[in-house]
Amino acid sequence: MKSSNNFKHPIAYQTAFIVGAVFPILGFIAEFLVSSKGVEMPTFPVNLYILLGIILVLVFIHIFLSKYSTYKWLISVPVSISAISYTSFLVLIMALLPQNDVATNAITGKLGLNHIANNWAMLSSSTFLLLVLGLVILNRLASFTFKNLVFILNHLGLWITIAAASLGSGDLQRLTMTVTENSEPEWRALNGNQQVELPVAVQLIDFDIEEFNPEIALLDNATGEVIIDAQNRAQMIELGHRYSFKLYNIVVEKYFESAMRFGKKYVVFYDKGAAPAAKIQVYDKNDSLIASDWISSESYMLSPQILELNSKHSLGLLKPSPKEYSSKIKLFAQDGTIEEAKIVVNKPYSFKGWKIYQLAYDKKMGKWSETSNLEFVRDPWLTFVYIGIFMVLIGAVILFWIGKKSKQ
Amino acid sequence: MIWDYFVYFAIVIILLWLSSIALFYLPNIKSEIISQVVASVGIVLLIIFTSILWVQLDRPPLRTLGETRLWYSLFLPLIGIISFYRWKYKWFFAFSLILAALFLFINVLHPENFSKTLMPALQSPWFIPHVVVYIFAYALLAASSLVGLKGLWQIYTSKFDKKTLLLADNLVYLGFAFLTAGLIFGALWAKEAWGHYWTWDPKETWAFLSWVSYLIYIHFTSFHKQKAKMQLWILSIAFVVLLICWFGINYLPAAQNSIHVYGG
Repeated sequence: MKSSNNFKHPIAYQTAFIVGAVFPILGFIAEFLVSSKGVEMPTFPVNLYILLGIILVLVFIHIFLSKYSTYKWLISVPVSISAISYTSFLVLIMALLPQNDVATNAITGKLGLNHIANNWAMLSSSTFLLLVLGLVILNRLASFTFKNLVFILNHLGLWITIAAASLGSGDLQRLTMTVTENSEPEWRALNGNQQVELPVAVQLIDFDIEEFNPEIALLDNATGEVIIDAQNRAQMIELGHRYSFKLYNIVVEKYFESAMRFGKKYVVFYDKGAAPAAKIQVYDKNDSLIASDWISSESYMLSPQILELNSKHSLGLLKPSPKEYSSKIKLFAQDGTIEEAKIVVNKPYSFKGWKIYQLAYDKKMGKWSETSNLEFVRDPWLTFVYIGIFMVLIGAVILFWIGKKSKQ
Repeated sequence: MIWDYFVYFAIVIILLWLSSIALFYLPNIKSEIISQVVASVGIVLLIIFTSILWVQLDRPPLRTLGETRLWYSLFLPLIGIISFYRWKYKWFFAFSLILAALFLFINVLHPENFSKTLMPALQSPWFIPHVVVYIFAYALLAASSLVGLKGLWQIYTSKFDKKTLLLADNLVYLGFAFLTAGLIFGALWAKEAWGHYWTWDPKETWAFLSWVSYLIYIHFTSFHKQKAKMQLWILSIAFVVLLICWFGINYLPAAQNSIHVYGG
């Protein structure tokens, strides 16, 4: 693909790609030497010193070494493309090989290809990228004009984002905590498998799930699977509705969102183990009644009730899916602060520097879960990541606005 | 449910768009305007269908691949018409209509389960901007790749026209702005929903790779304006990466735990 008429300076790209390769190769050698344990990112204040060190090195090179041809080569486009390409190549490995820390063969294990994100090769390649990008930015800043603004926003924003996200990752804490209704306040959380004691405590007052109505579905008796095609779609059940599957018309006579079976009937029941149930009438295409009975979803106590229509088809209610789940909690801090909060998915709550997320619940118990899994996140570098991100976003908006300037 | 009538909507819209293309190539200027009116009627019908679907589902129809195909079919003809006014490429207008018709046709062949449920993690103010911006980006970048293929064909038949590359370039710049915004909205949403803005989830990994591919294209084109062939090849490779991110992810074994695989 590459030929001399494609590249005016073929040597520029070749040198850039050969030199660029040194960084991932050195990284993989390092990974091999540490028996693929990966990089343990430094925490505060060491990561801050490293950041200041990198900035000092960049400024030093920019001021004192900019007259050398190596510097001019470093800030050239071939080197930028080479640095981007090698980092992306590592990301491509990440995209193709499972990243689960379980090595599938000797090479993936020894080179740490199953944990690229904290691989030494990733560190060295992205450091090279940060250096090159940093020099390019300083070079543009030195001759700043308004025309450079978009360039600065995009490039400096990206630099800040990468630097803050990678150097800050050592200070990032993501802990999980399981709390149970009617228990004492909990302050112990897990960092992976390791137990951590938090400076705040949590008491679960109430865990609550709101569910969608379950879907009524036609089932294939032979396979037990839901039949889904243009004429037979699972549809959310509602009282009084008529549903039409290809061969059957269905009328919902009774619907209880929370019910329990007693003998052959279902009654309204709002307590542990209840499940949605409906009494339905099924007609064939000639409008003659072929069946009328109860169907129900399953719960941890109830097995699902299915209505067999004939040797081929049955009707059933699928397991309802959650619409919203939330934990009402009481929070305690060491200084005596007590707060009550409701934590919902997508609506975390901030308390004493921590962001608390609704993570999960006891899936087996479903709607009747008495435990809630929370996540505690602390990311002191987040502000800087956001500053970088918003610079890039503003750059993108301006880029959209002015578009590509015509070249002729 | 309006979805039960999708086939009829789809057939009418596809016929409108195909006749619009036919009219477009008739050799008088009047038919060009009629053609665009006909195409617009199709777009309006699709807007009506999608709006009713949105209301009836009680949630934005942006969750499944089938639902997002509706939006591609909506945006592609719009991009086709707008860029025709700017660049006067008949073939590009025709291509965008054919591609949009194809998306509708795929939906006729693969009716999906248009469930009304929407999982809690997707109930976020970021949902609509994140997906709409991405769909717009993908539509623009898909369009740029069509132009790119045309350019490669021109090069290999020695009929290369510099304007082809300019159109591809413009579409990439617009598409890349949207791609960046989509990526960032996704990161901001992830922070609210999953606790961290970036976790190298398989979809994130491929989204990053697509973003970088176009980044390389932009850097290469800005500094090597004369190397048309190489530019067009980079553009083609970038689109392959984008396609994997767009469709391929649902089939990749390494991606089955992705938070972005929602099924039908």
